[in-house]
Amino acid sequence: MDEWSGKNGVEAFAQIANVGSEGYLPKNMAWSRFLGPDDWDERFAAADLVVAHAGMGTIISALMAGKPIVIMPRKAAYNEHRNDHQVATGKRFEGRPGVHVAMDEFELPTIVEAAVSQPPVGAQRLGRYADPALIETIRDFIVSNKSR
Amino acid sequence: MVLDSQHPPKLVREAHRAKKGFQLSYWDNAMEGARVLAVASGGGHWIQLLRLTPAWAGVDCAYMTTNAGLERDLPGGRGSDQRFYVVPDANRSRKLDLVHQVAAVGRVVLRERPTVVITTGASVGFFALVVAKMIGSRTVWLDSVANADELSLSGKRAGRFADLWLTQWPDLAKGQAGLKDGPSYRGSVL
Repeated sequence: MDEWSGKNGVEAFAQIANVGSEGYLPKNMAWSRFLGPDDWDERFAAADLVVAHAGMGTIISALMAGKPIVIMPRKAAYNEHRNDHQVATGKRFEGRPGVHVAMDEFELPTIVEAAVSQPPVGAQRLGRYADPALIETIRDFIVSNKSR
Repeated sequence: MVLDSQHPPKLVREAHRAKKGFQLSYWDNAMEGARVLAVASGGGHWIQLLRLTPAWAGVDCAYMTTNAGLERDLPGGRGSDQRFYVVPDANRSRKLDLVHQVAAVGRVVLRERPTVVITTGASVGFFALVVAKMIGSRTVWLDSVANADELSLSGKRAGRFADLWLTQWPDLAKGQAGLKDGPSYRGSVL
């Protein structure tokens, strides 16, 4: 992303909690190691495009804001996560409007280009709450006094 | 209101109860005596938990998470009179953090004595369910929507401690793929 941002003159901000084993630090992007919830919200709101690993919190936030997002799953092979559940997430979200999936850093620049050249997805925002059937199931459980 | 899990607030809860007595409503009747503790670690698990809040609208509910900054997300907002507990964060690679987390979670659950504990994970929710079962609370585990190909490790283990054990992916539910035992599917947070 740092290379892409420098090459295209696009202003970018990065949160890098764990600097990789090669010790690479951004040359073109502003960055910080940690963002508190309020700072995170502010940066998120200001962005035209979000590029992140395939964590559900970031994906849900982007879907709710109607903001395009590029996700690149963390991989267990690179010690980026315990298992490859983010790869599974990437596959499940492939093709969903506003969500663009890059499976590795070689694919990333092309996918980012594609994401920025697409029209905004604001009209297809995700609502605030879960599937009503799920909420109803949990509500019924809370009201009832029976165990399994 | 941020509550220190080390010194839980006896008086605060009693004040809350007393106040509730003056606001008898439909839900106070339907949900009489119900007391929910909603639990999730910060990040994606917490965001998923917030998407379920209508399930306990009108019910006495306390929240527990791992990041104090998330109080702003409570249905009543920051500084509301909702009970909000912050416990230490932890992950499997740092065992000592897990010990601190278990202790803090245990203190909150014992103090709250909820009738129902609901969690979307991760370890903080698992520990809450285990302690909740020991004191006779009823429990809900909703496995994270992030686990699309298989249940999380804590999600699998939570089955023993969950009265309502849910996955957000139909193909991971009991009866699918030859699964004899497993969670149910009733929809997802998306």
